[in-house]
Amino acid sequence: MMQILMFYPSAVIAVITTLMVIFSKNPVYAVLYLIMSLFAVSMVFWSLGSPFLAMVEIIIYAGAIMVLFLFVVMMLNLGQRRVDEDLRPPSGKALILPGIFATILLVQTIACLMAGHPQGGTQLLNDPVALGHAMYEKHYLGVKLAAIILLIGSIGGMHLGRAASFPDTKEKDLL
Amino acid sequence: MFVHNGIPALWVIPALPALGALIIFLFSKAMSPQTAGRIACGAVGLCFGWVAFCSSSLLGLPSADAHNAPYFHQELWTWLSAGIVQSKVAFLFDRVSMVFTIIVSGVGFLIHLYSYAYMDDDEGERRYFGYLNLFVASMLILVTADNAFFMFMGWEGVGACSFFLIGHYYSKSENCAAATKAFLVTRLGDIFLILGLLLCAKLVGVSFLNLSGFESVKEMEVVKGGWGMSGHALLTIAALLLLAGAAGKSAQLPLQTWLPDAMAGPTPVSALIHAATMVTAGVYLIARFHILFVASGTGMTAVAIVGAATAFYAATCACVQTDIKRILAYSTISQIGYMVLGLGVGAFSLGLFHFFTHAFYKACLFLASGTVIHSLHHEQNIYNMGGLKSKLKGTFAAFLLGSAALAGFPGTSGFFSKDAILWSALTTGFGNPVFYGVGLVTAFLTAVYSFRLIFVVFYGAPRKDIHVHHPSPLLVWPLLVLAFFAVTIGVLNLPGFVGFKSLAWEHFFHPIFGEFQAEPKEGWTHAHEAIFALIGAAVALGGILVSYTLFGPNAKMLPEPAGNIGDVENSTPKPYKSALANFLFHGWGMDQLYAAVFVRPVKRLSMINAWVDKVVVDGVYELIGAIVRAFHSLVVSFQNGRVGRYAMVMLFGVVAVTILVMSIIPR
Amino acid sequence: MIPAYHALILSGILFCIGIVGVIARRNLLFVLMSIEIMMNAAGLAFVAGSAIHGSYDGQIFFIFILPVAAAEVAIGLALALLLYQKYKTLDLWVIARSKEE
Repeated sequence: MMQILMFYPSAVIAVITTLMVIFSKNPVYAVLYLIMSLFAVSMVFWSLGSPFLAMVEIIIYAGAIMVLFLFVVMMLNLGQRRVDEDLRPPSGKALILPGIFATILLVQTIACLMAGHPQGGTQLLNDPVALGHAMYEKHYLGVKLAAIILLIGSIGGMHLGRAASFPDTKEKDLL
Repeated sequence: MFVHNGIPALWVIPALPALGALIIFLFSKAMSPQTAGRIACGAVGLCFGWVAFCSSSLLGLPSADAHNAPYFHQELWTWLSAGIVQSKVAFLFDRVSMVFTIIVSGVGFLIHLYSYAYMDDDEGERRYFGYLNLFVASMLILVTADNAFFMFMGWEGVGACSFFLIGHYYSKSENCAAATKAFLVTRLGDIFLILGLLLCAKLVGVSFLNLSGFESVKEMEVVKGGWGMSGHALLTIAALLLLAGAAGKSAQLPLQTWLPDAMAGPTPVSALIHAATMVTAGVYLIARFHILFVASGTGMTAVAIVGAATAFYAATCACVQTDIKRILAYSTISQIGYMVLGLGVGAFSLGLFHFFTHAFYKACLFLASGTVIHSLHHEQNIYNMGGLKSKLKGTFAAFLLGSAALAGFPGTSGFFSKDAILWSALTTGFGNPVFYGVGLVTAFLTAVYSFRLIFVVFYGAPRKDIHVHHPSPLLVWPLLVLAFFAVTIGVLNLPGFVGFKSLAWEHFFHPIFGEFQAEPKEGWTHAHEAIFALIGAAVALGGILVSYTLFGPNAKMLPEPAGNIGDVENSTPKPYKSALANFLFHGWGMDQLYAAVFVRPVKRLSMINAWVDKVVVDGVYELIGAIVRAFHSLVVSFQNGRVGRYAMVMLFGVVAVTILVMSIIPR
Repeated sequence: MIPAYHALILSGILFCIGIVGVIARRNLLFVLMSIEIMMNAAGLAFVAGSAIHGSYDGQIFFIFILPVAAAEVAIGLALALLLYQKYKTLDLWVIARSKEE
């Protein structure tokens, strides 16, 4: 019962805040809405039975990645700028086609799910130790790949960021 | 490598000048013009030496009976093998080839030496010598090839080199026009030639060796008819097509118009290509295919008619020209007409003999006129010359001897060769009195115009004040060598009535032409021949006498010029008062006739064609283009460079694929 | 008990919102954020799948998504900084147009 009480409000909050991200004018607000959305999703994880994943979601997504976003937004000082065209929420005209397609896609997804009557428990296995064992024993290759991706990401970020901090650098030095 | 089993390597003959051309063209940037000239002269000189060696080897072979002429044959590789077109890169060196290679390399060598001095101050000298060497190589391939298709390669090669060399002074547009005209007119003949060769290949084969294919022609029923025609009719068609090809190359009626204009090239080129060698390729062709022509019968008559008509036509035109080279050009057409007449009446060896003598005296005359032109700073109008006898002594001597040979002065080579042809034209089975009469009138005209040159150019007072600068020795002594041969070479075929070494040339070629060589009919004796020789001599001398009274130093200028004769150019519409003279001056108006009948309608047709092309044909493609552009503008809106649009297209794709998958997979 | 496919439906809704954001927004930052939304939705779907199948695999893949998202954000934001320095704007339409010129 507690789970149901947690799940559906969190889901509704997640959808609303996500919509707010898309339609907000100010990037700072948008980032904050996104953080709220992530909090809501982490509540969903908790309600599905895995406090560990909920914590991971909050710490890494909301805590690390979104803060990175916030830094950049503040660095670019976009919030203080007068509202340019590109910061305006998308108009109806720009929304028609993607809206239609996205709706079709959503209807299809739901139809598929309903038609399939997915069975099985909703209780997540919740043992971080077992999770760790499974990850490092069964999916060690994935761990390595993720590590390499992270390494490449950090190298790329450093390289591009260095060029960004020294504007005199010529483009050909970058590429 | 060069001599195998006593057979000299024949491929070396064309390879030497070809190598010279290759070296000159490859390294022309690095070498001086003089070096190019030396390489060219050296290549042709070596080639002449090798030809002399080959010839002496051939003559050293045990003498043959009537049907088996000795020959060298060398096969290198198969060039073409496609149905009836079977051709090998193979060389045949028999007595006909021998005569032609000696002329091409020997006279060619003298002309190369002459060119070395003549082209000294010309900026295109390297190009000139490259093409000259290439020409000699092509011409040698033409006359040593063992089958007609390989010969055709040389045939086209000489045509191309002729085109390049006529257009040597390409900065003047009329020279380019002359080159193009020569190229197109001879190409017209070549179309007939290749058609004729294909027909020949279909009927009897085109190998020259042992005339293998042609042996069957002797039995007429061997040649199968086809396309609703009998074998004999097809043979006649083939012969006429070959005749048209020969006429194009040898400037015979009705394709003769290119040769007078071809004089736009440097004078040594005129001497080598447009007098001594290339234009006689038609004679070579007919001589090689003589069995075909004899078998056809009608073909022989056509050859004789073309030859006689051309000889007369060109001789009349030569009488009123004012350009020294143009006179010689018409004279060349006329003399080749004699050769063709000789072939047409069955006297094949005499046609070749006239080619042999003509090569010497005409090359001599052309080179002498080149020396005159060179000494007078490129003045070509004979009425601006005069009184050069004392100033250019060596040249005058050569010119006089050459003209005597051309006019048929008794005792010179031209006298013997021409007279033998006239005798055959009267007496053989293919001949008749009309051919003889036309030939005789032409001989008279020849004497008149050749000595008109002598009298106008070398006698009298100078008509125009031009400084005569002294020619270098290299511009004179090749003339004297050629003049010597021009006078003396006639002893190779003294007439039958002489009794000493007479008809040596005809006997030499008897194994080649065999029974196809037409002999005088019954009833014509040596006594008759002597009488007709006397008539010939009298006509020549009479012509010279008439020429002296008409054009001599004391004569009034005939025909009467309409304006200042010294200003006359080749394009002047009415240089003379007399309409007949103007008619002859423009070559019987053949150029204008062709322009009206062929050139202008073709131009109009091509204008219509261009319009159709622009509107209809292009319209179709523009329509296709417009349709494609319409689709393009439909699709291009997806490619506007905005990420959002790409993402949306992707989303559309995802949705579409999902719908597809869901509708296919059964629930 | 919550039916697991409700979580899946939630993830679908979030994913579609993310798609609309990617397509409809013109600002690079918002596009990046929309991509984050989509990734998060994918992670939610993995977790729901893990609940349905009763195994750890889905959860592990959710954990793998985290470094991918982090790397993507690091590079994306660095690029955004560079673009902003060069064009003085993050409007993708304007940037696309200036590239053509």
